[in-house]
Amino acid sequence: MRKAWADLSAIEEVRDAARGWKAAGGIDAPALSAIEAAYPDPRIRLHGFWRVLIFVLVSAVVNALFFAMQPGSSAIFGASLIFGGLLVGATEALRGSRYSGTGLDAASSFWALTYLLVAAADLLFRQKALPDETAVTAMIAAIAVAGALAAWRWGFWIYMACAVAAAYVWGARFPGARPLWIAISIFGLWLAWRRRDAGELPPDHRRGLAAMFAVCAAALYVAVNLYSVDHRIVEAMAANGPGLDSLVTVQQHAAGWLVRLLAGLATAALPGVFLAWGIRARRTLLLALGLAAAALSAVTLRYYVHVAPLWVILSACGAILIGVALAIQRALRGRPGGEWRGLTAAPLYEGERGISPLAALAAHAVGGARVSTPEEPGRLETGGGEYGGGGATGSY
Amino acid sequence: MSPETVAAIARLRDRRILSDAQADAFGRVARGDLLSIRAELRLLLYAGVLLLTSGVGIFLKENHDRIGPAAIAIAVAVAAAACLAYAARRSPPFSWDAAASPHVAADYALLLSMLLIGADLAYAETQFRMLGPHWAYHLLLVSLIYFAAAYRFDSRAVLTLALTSFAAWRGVSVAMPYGHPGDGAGSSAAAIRLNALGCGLLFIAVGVVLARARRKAHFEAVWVGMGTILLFIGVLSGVLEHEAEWRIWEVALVVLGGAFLAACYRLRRPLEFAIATAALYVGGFRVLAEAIDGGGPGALLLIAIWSAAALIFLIAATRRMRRAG
Repeated sequence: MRKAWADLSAIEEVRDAARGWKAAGGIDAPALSAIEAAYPDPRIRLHGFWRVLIFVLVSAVVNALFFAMQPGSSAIFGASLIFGGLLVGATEALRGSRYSGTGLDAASSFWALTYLLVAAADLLFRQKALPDETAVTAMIAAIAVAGALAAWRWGFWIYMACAVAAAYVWGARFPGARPLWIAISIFGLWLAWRRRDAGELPPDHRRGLAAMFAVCAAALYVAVNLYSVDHRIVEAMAANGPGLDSLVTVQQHAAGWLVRLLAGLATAALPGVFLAWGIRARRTLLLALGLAAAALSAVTLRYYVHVAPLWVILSACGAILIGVALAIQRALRGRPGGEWRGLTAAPLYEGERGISPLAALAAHAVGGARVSTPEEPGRLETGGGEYGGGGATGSY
Repeated sequence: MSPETVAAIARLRDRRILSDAQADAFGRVARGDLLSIRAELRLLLYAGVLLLTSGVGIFLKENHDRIGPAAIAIAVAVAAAACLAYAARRSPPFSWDAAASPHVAADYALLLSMLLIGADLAYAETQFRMLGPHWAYHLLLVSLIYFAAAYRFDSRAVLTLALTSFAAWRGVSVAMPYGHPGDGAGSSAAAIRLNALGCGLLFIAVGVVLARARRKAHFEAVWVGMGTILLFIGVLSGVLEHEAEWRIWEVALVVLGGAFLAACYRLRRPLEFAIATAALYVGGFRVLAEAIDGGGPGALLLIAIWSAAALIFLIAATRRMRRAG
């Protein structure tokens, strides 16, 4: 990453923090203006919807131009390579321009990678440069390498997440993948954790490390989860493995009782480890990973142990989650200064936000019941009926 | 932790832009010595609401024969009332200004109570047929309850549900097969389109009027945003679906879109500006489709040119808005 881009990324970090201080009433408007003057950012900041729209428009332009050229099957490799190369150049130019972060650079980088990978796929699969299974393995490696290079050069964390995920899939192509996943995950977690606050890294790269940390944690959970062991989820990705059928059918394989016992214990313990680590280190990413792992472990438990009807489980889990949140909030509020081990339930400088309208609509779509029409008397549909019209669609 | 922010705080303190107290407070957070878990608590509450409403939905489906509809309806109503009471106890008194509850759970208790009320009314209507052939009016009732709760508890999320339910009521009323005897499918679609336009205009007008009257002025963005989306969906459905009169709808789209772009540019409303641009962009494809017979490289080239034009327009607008702002 060029130094100028890293500097802009650092400036953005400071300006974002200052806006948070202002939103929470920590500073006034003149102070914010002074901070923005001290940390000038020439780039254009856009509403999220604008960025999405720009991404869509760039995608339309790029792909329409590519297919308008009508490259025959023999020319796909060359055309994709040229397109990918041009888009790499465009991304280089855009990342250093005032349009960095507007969606233009995100779209051009995404399609640059896509076209370069299309060229690789054409070489591997259509031109049969390698045998089929080897070509798949090579293609996954190409995705991992391309993603890592893009993340390192342009600083988009999503490419780092894709690269690390692809690296895990690549590792799963070989025998002994599950122990390898566990070992690599632990090493990856250690590596990302050690460099998490390295001041010499720009914020974009630190976000990339956080993405790597999250993917490593997810891979570790998948490797030790009991359902994953029973259904051979990791082994399903192997070059000559059981395939995707194993995801839904339990294989009669030799995961001995000890392995299953250890997997069961790890499935139960890992969420607690992440949560305890998150509380101790005061890291929201670890807390989020712990919550996600806890939810998955609860689903795993429900898969193996049917203690009550589904509606009881869902309602009880919902009530427990609400109760736990309220208990934590009350406990923190009761502490001196509203703090415990550096954790607080106060909003600090993030600005208080209510439930987003989209989240409310999603909740509306999940629960409830639909009134049946007179043609179908007495019928009741639950779990999110549908309505529409008036230009709107929705569910209740 | 953010090393850049930690360094910046020290620099800003040296330059007296931040006081010592401010620098100490901000520095604790930037160093990671103090962390707010409010977002995580909200996530837990939201997941709890989702799971509870899902559980209630399945409960209603599986138990209405065994327990009896009246008992179920009463049980759900009691649960909804309890949630509403919880939210009411933790909310500040009514005000026409912004008055959101500082309690982290009040919003979620309110949302849960509204979802339970909506589900309960739908269930009761299904079981008891109180409104008979006018069953869709229960959506209006739900919408009115949501409106009342949104204004009482200052909740933009519940206001969104109210507006969606209101629009759905208009759509369902029109689309009811027995609602308009003799209507064909085409006229029903036209009526739904007109209802979308009507709802869109109504929402925008109400939003503007309430903002001017300083009655929950901060809700204006929700009213106008929803209204804008409905309005353009209505016009776009005419452009894309109407075979005979699409040209009239296209002209309407251009006029409406142009007016919106001008107004949003003047008023610095980036979201509505982008919605209008997106609508004009999508509407333009109908003209392209009519102009080109079939696909081929020519069509793709036109799509590329049209998309590039929209892109250039957006970027130019961004620069102008920034310069003017």
